[in-house]
Amino acid sequence: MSDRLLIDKAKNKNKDAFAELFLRHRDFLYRYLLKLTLNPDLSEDIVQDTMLKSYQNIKKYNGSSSFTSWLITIANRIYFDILRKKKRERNWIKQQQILGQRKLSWQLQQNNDRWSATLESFKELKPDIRAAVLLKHYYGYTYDEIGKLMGVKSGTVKSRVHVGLIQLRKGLLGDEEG
Amino acid sequence: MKKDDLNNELSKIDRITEELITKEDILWQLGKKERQYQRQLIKEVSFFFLIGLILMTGFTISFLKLPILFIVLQIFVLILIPFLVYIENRSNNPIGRWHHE
Repeated sequence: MSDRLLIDKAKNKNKDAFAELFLRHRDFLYRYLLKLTLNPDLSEDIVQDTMLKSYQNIKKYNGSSSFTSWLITIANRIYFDILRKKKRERNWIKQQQILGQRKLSWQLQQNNDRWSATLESFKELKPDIRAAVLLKHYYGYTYDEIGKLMGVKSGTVKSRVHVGLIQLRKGLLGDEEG
Repeated sequence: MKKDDLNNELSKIDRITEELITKEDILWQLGKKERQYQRQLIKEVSFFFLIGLILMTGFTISFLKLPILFIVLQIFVLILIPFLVYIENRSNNPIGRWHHE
């Protein structure tokens, strides 16, 4: 069954069709979030929240972008909302981030990979810059598309990507010198 | 640093194997999330309702001087609080809580 058909069925509150549709895109979404947040548990939470939000708002999906892009837009909003949470929760979020990164690093080791200096520099980028660099250079979206995904102008995206790449280079040079 | 270096490093994350998720898992997670969302909604609505009630009580007493209405409203509040506690307990049932944590 095609995505289009499943979307139409899901719009009529057919949970089975939605589950089938979400299952097809879940893996892509989870891996995107894992690279963005660098935290497996947080990624899983955001996937589940994205699932609920997309189910509740599927009637608003008009097909102008791919379903995956629409899910990424929702997931981005959820992630940035979490980061904007009150000050008192920031320390807790930071701790979770450290624990999450340790878990990811351990998972990489299980795959005979390691947490490299590049990943460390990537982690140090501000989340909105990290998202822009990820979408542009890893997923190959255009500046306009990223602008739509993140709800900002394409010029802003361009500047974030530029700043991100400079910071990544600086980070790596710093590591080499150190 | 080249663009490819970054992409190679990020692709390592893509290689991490995740546990297999089935359609039934998605349906179960969706049901759980819907229940959580509804409970949260009830809590928030009840909270604003309670605040409104307290304000209304204050205005009623100060402007209309009707103490009997105050008592009636207080009884209503006394019903609302156990209701909120009940909702809270339901959302903290052991299976739900453990899974959530």
